[in-house]
Amino acid sequence: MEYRDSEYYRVSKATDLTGRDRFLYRLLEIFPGTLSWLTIIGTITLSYFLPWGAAIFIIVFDLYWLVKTLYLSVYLRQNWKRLKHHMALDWGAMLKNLKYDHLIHMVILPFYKEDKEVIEKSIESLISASYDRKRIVIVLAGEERAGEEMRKIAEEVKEKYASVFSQFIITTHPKDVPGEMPGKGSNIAYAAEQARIHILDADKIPYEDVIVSAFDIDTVVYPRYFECVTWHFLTAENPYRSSFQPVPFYNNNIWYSPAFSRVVATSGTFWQMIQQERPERLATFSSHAVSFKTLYEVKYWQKNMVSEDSRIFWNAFVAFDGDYSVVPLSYPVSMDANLAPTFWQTCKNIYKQQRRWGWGVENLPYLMFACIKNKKIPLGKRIRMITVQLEGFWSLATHPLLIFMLGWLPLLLGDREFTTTILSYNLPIITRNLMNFAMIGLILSAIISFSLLPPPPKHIKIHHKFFMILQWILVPFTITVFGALPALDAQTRLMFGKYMGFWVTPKHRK
Amino acid sequence: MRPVSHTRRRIYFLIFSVAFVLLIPIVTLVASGYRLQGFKLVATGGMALYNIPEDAEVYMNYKPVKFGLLSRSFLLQNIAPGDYFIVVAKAGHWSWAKHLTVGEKRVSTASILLLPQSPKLTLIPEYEIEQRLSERIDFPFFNSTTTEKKVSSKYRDALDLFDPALNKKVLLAKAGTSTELTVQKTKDNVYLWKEGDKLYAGWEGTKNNAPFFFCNEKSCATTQVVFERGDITSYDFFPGRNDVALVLTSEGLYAVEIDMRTEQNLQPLYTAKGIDFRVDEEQLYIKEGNRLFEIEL
Repeated sequence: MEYRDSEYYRVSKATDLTGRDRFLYRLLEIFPGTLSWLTIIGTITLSYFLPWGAAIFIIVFDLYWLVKTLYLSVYLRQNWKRLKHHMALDWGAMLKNLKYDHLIHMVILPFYKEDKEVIEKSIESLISASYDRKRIVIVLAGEERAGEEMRKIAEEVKEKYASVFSQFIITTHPKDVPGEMPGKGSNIAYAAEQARIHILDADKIPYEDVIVSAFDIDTVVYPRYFECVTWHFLTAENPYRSSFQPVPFYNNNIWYSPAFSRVVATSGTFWQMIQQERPERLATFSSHAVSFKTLYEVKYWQKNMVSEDSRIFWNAFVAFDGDYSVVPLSYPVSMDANLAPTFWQTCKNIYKQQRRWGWGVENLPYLMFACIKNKKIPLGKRIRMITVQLEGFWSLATHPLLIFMLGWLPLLLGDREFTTTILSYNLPIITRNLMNFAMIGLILSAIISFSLLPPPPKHIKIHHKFFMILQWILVPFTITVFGALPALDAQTRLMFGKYMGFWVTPKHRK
Repeated sequence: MRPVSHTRRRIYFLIFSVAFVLLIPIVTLVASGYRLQGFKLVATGGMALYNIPEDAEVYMNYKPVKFGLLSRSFLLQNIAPGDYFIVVAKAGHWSWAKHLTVGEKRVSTASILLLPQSPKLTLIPEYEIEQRLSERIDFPFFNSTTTEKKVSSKYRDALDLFDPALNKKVLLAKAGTSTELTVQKTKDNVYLWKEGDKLYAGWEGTKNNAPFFFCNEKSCATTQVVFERGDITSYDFFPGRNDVALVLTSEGLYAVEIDMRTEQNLQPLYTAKGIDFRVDEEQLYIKEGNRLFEIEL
């Protein structure tokens, strides 16, 4: 029996299983949070009982952080070059010798209660893209829960833009469907199935000729997006065993967002850029593209969990016995940075969004469980995938805390025997110096982020541009408060079985 | 343009991994005080000097040493274990000197006290003149100014500090050996009290977490005699410090460090007979007859 036909394939949490499987899955859910907390508590305990050991650990750890930062900055710079190259490239010319007029692009735009302005901006960008619009199908995926007002907005948008594209349908995902979690996953899965019935099957369009781009409602494509995806699709080693991942920018409202919102958003962009140079570590994230044939084979996005954007990759990975990968496009799409009417609301929204992204840890027990159950996945690949994912979530939740908050613990908790050693005096000095070296990498971050900014609105003054560079000194704060803490929060919730629901990030435009 | 090739990534990974592995022993050994002398690894120690005033000169075994421009603390490393004679001097100030022993991988700590030889005293005027405008509604051209002499509020507040009724902290000495009621001063977990002719300093915590000025190379104590003289009139902590006591004797006011390691530094602050002093909110006041002074340290 194929894994995708098994009872395990669509599991979202331990309570979906029974007996030993449930017990095993529950252990796997507990594991990531336990690892993170053991690290933090272990450091505190070590600082008290063996302060010199803790001091050595912290120094070695800071050294590791410095080396890792320098190592990753090599990839960041490399992808920056590739990104600029791809953004300047004439993808239309790249397609000249390839046959692609049989391909259809299906864009799924899930929405809930966003303003009409947000929806229209996304659709306008699709119109502006340099691709035959008659080869583009729009699926505006609404929610019954959102009410009649939203239905009305959808109809107005359709009326305005339908004639531009090949087809334009509105789907309304029913509410309160048993076994489903309200959210993007269940909505776009429903929308994809509706599109299959009413468009693909109705017009006898082969599934293998359709490339689906699953976007957020605020996703704005850059002009060559469809050409870029098409080229990568046609030249991929196995396009039906691949997802296609653009780089997420958060430029829609970057000039209006507060500094820490910009830093958090751009840090996410940087992480994706780094991973795009290491594609074997890449899973899908946020807006991505995939063949409809593949999507249909893996039964669409899961409807009973939160992080459907990453889960679709793991579904495909286990469904195809490890024979699945992500093709990095190194080409951007743009979305909104977090912005709310008030400063504190923006802070809360950022925290909640980061916690939701941190909730991607729910994929780790899914992956580990699948690797235990599905022996057809090559062992090396299973080990590597689990190691990469585990290290990623563990480091996100613990490293900033270890570096910026716990480095002083041996000095505070250590006894006189330790505090009179030269090691105790050197601990803050070496920690500070290593971190200062690591912070030099922020200069590169500032340069890259500045180069990726869109042109500023007319009323933006020169000092705003200066702040766009200066904002990077906030990294120690944002990486802790909006990185480690929400990640630890999410892992702890998973550990205690407090499963999270989907939270829609409010879109606010100035 | 493709992502970085597998081969190149392996090379990057190897380079950074090797760099990390090589740096671990180097950084941890250096942090622990080890230094390379020739081909031999030797354990060194350090010295930490706090509260070094600006423009002061530091000498170690009679040789000058340099320290950071912006720092009032001085950590000297790479010191071979042994005994050192430290002198800190500044023009117009009493010098500070002490013998310190540096152990392997250990830091010896001291806090500097350099008092001006001629401290600046500012007289607090007893009276202040207040001018008031008297307005005449009937004859505005005949408005006049009246002056009134009254005791200044600053003088009154300072004088209140010397009111015996305010000195209410009457506690038995911590040593518990004497039933004589005596004044206890406390600052940052360090306390002072007098018993007979001796001024004691005590630490409220344990020996394990006692500050450096309660410790020598071998052990720490929680109480020690700071000053012994038959004519101790009053005492308090030096403003802003819990490791220096101010002691008033018949000959004047002196600052004495609680650190009993050789040499214990004692510096005169204001030598005059019949004076009194108070410390209030880190400001030192001297009373000489009816005159009150603020001392700038």
